[in-house]
Amino acid sequence: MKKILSVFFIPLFALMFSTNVKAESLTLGWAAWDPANALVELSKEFTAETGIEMNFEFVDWTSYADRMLNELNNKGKTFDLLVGDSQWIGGGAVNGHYVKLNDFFDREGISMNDFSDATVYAYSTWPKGSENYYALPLMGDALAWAYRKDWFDRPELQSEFQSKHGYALGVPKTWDELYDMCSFFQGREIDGVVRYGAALNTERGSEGITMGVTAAMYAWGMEYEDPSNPYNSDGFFNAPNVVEAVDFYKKMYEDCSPPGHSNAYMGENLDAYSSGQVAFQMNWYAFWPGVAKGDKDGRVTGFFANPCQEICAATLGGQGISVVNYSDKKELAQQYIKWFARPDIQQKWWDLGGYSCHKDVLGSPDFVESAVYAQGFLDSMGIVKDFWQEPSFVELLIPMQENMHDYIVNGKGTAKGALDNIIEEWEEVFESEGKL
Amino acid sequence: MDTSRSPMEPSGFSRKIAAFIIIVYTVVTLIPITWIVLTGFKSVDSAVSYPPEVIFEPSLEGYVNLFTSRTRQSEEYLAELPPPETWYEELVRSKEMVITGPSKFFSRYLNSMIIGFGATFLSIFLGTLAAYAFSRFRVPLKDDLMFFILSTRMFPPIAVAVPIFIMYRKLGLGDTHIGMIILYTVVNLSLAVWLLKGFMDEIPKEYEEAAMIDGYTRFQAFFKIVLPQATTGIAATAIFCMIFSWNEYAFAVLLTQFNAQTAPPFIPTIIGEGGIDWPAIAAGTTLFLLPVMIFTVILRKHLLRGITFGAVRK
Amino acid sequence: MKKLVTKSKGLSDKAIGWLFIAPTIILLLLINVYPLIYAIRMSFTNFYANKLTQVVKNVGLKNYYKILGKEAIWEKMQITAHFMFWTLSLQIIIGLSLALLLNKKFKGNELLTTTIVLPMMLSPAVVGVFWGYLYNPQVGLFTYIVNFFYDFGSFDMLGSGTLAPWAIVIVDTWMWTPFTMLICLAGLRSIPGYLYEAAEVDRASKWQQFVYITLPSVLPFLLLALLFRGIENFKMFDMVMELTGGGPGSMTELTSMNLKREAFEKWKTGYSSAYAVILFVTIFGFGNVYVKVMNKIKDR
Repeated sequence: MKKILSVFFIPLFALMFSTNVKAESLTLGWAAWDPANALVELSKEFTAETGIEMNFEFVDWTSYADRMLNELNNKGKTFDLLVGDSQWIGGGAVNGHYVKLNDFFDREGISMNDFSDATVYAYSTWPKGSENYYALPLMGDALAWAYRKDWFDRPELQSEFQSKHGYALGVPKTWDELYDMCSFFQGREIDGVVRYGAALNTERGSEGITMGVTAAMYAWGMEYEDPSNPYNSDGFFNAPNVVEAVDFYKKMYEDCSPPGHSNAYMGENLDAYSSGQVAFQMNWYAFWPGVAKGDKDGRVTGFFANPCQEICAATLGGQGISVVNYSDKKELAQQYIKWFARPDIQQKWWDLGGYSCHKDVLGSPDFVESAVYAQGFLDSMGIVKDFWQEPSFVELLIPMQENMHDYIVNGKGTAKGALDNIIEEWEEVFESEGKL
Repeated sequence: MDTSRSPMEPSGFSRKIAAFIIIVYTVVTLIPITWIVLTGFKSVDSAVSYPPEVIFEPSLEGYVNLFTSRTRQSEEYLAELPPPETWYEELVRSKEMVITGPSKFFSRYLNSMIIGFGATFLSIFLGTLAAYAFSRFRVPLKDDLMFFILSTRMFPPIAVAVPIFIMYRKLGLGDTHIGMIILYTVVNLSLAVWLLKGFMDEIPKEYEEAAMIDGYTRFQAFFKIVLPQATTGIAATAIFCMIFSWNEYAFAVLLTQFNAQTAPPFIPTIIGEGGIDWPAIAAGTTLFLLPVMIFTVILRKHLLRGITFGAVRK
Repeated sequence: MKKLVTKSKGLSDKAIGWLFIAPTIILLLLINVYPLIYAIRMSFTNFYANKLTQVVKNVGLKNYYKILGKEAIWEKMQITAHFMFWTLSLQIIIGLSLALLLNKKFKGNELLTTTIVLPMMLSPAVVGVFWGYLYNPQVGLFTYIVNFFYDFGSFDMLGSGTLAPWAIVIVDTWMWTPFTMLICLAGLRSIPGYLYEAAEVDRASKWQQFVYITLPSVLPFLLLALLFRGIENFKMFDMVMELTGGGPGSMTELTSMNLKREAFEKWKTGYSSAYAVILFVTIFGFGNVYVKVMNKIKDR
C-alpha cells in the first residue's frame, strides 16, 4: 500500500516543484489604446530585469468601466494590477478592491512628493486630499484640442478671418474665439472637399458627452457642490453660468459638427480628424503622440489646452495603477509598481509616449522641448478638474450622460431643466448613502 | 400531402405574381446580409467611401485586422524593421502598422463553440429524457409542471441575471465555461422539453409496448425503439438550442469577462486604429454567421418542421 | 429505486420516470426558481451588489413605490410599448401576406422559404452592430438607398430623436417577419381543402372565402406568433443596445435596457430586483390572460 501511495506522491511533488520553477508572471489590465501599447513596450525592461513575465489584457474604452468594475465586483482573480480610471478610486478604496499602498510606499522609500501634486490628488488619494494612497499615478491626462495648423497658415483664410472677426486666426484664447473659428470652417470647401468645424465629444453610452460638456462647464467656472456644504449641488451645478456653458456647447455641436457626429468619443473624433473632415478635435493628450505621428501629405497639427472663458480649467483624465486586492500575487505586483516609480523608468515612459507624472520628468529642462504638446500638458495639469470620484460615481454619471445627451443632441427640454434633473438624481443617490 | 389548396388551382398568373413578390422580398431582405459579407472584403477606406462601392477592389484587410492586434508606428520606425515575412504582415505594414500579436477573436469563437455545443448537447440529453417521461408516464401535476417549465422563458434575462450573477460569484462559476453551459442549458430546456414532448407524443406507444412484452425493459425500449424514431424531432430541437446558445448576448455580456467570453459580446468591441474598423467587424460578423447559415441550409427541412411544430400542435 | 415485479427486468416505470425528469426539474429549480426567489427577497432590501461591506437593510415596499412612482420608468414603458406595437403590427401584416403568397404553390418556394428565414438566425447583438453601419448618415447603404428614391440629404437615423425609434422598428421587423410568416404558413397549410370546395359549391366569392374560412383558421396561429414575439420584444435588449445604446438621449431606451443600467451599472441590486419582479409579473400576467383568451378562441 505504501508503495502505491508513494508512487502517487512523487509525481505530485514533481508537479508542485515544477510550478514553482516556472516563470512567474503578472497580469495587468488597462484600456486598449496607444499608451497601453507603449506600456507593453516599456514593460519588456521589467521582464528583462526581474524575469517576471508581464501579461496584458486590454479592453476598449467604451466597455472598459463596465467590464472592469464587473470583474472587481465579481472578485475576479484575472488581474494582479489594474490601471483604473481616476473616478474608480473611491469605489476601489471603500469597497476593498484596491490594496492600500501606504505601508508599501514607506517600506520601499517611494514618496508621493516625487509626483506632481495634482496627479497625486486626482489619481491616488481617497478620501480626496488625504494621505491614504490606493494607486500610483501612472498616466497624466487631460482633455485638450488639436487643430489643422496647415489650414490656419493659409494666407487667404487668415485674411478672410481677420476681416470677418477682427483678430488673427490662431490658437483660440477663449471659447468664444473657438466658436468663431470652428464655425468659420463649417461647410467650407478646402482643396475641393467640404470640411466641418470641430469633432466634439457626444457619446452616450459611457462618459463621452460628460467629458465634453464639462470642458465647457469648467471654463465657465462650474462647481459641482457648495464648497462649504458638500454634496449640495443646487444653486451651484445649475447656476446661470453653468446653464450658459451647456447652451454654448450645444450651439457648438449644432453649428460646427460634421453630420452624424451624434454619438462620438475618442475613436470617432480621431477618425473625423484623420480623414480631414474637421479643423478641430477635442481629445485626450494620450492620443497626441499618435496624431502627431500621423501628420503627412502636408497636414500639420497644432495643439492647445482647453480655452479659458471666465476661468481657465481643463477636464481631468488619466489613471493610476493599483494592486488588485483579490490577486494571489500582491507582493509580486508591488514589485512592478516599485520598478515603475523609478525616475529613470518614468523618463523612458514619457519617451515612449506615456504621460509620466513624476516631478523629475516634468520639471526637467528638456521636457518642454521634447514634444509639441508638452507645454500644453504642463499647463493643463495645473488647471484640471475631475468628475465625482465617489464610490457611487457611476450612479452620478449615468443621469448626467442621459440628460446632457437628451438636451444637447436630442434637443429635449432646456439646459436648466436638464441640470435640475441631474441634481435631483444626485440628491437621491447621496440621500441613500446617508451623505445628505 | 398538401390539403390547403383551394379547389380552384391558383391560376398560373396569380402564382407568377406571388412568386415575383416573394422573390423581390427575399432579395431585399438579403441585401443587408450580402452587404456585410461584401464589406468584410473591403479595405478600410473603401468601406467608408460614399457613395457605397458595390464594385470595389477586394482586400483581406478586414480579416487580417480581425485576427491581429496592431499599433501604428512612424515611418522611420517602419523603415528600420526587417522586411515582412508573411503576406499579412506585409499588408499591415503597407498601412503603416505593425502586428503585435493575435487578437482575441479566435478564442472567443472557440468559446462560442464550446459553450454552444456543450449547452445544446446537455439540453437535448436532459430534454429528451424529461420529454419522454412526460409523454409516457402519469406524472403528478403534469400540466402544472409543463407550464412551469414554459414560464421560465418569460423572465427577462436581465432580471434573472442579477441573482445568478451573485450566485455564480459565490460558487466561483462567474466567467467560466461550465457556468455558461449550465445557464444556457436551463434556458434551452424550457423550449426543448415542450418541443420534444410534442414529438414524442407523435410516436405511437404500441411499438414500445410490443417490445416490452417481448422482454425489453422500459429503458431498452426507450433507447432502441423510441429514440431512433424521434431523430427528426431531436434534430429540430437541437437546431433551436444551438441557435440560441450561439447567438445569446445578454447573459454573456453580464456573466463573462475574459475567460469564457463568447463572440457576440466581443464583436461590437472590435476597435480599429483610431476609428471603427468596419471591414474587421464585417469579417467577424460573417465568420460568426457562417456556422448558423450552413446549419440552417443543411437541416432546413427539420427546421421548418420545428418552427411550425409549436404552432400546429397545441 | 424499487424494483417492482414487472414483466421485464430493469428499472420500473416509476423509477425511470423520476430519473428522467429529476435532473431537468432540479436544474430549473436551481437556476430559475431559486434566483427568482432570491430576487424577490432582495427586492425588499437596499442591497448594493458592489458594496459588500455595507449593511443591508430591509426597506419593505419602498423600492416598489419608488419604481411605480418614477416618471422615467413609465417613459421607458411607453417607449417599449411603442416599439412592441409597431413591430408586432408590421410583422403580423407582412408575415401573413407573405404566407398567403407562399401558400400558392410555385416552383422554388421551398428554397425561397429557407433563404427568407436567414435574418432570424443571426445574433441580435451582431445585427444591431452592423445595422449601425448601414444607418450611418455619411457612408451607410440604407442612407444611400433611401436617398436614391427621394433625396433627403443627410439624415441621421440613429442620432435623430424622431427617427431613432423607427430605426429599431425597421431592424426588428426585418429580422422577425420570417418567423410570423412561417407560423402563418403552417396555419394556412393546415386548413383542409374541402372547406374551400364546399364554399365554392355555395358560390362564395374569393373575398368571402378569405374572410370566413382563411382568417378564422389562421387566427390561432397569428395569436401564437403574436404571443411569442410579444414576449420577446418586451424583453428586447441586445439588438437595441448595440444599435442605439438607448440614444439619442433616452429615446430608444427600452425597459430591459433601463433595468440593465440600474442593475449592472449602478449596482442598485435591491431596487433593480423590485424592477425585475414588476416586469416579470407583468409578462406573466399578460401571458396568462393571453393564453386563456387564445384557448377560448381555439375552442370556438
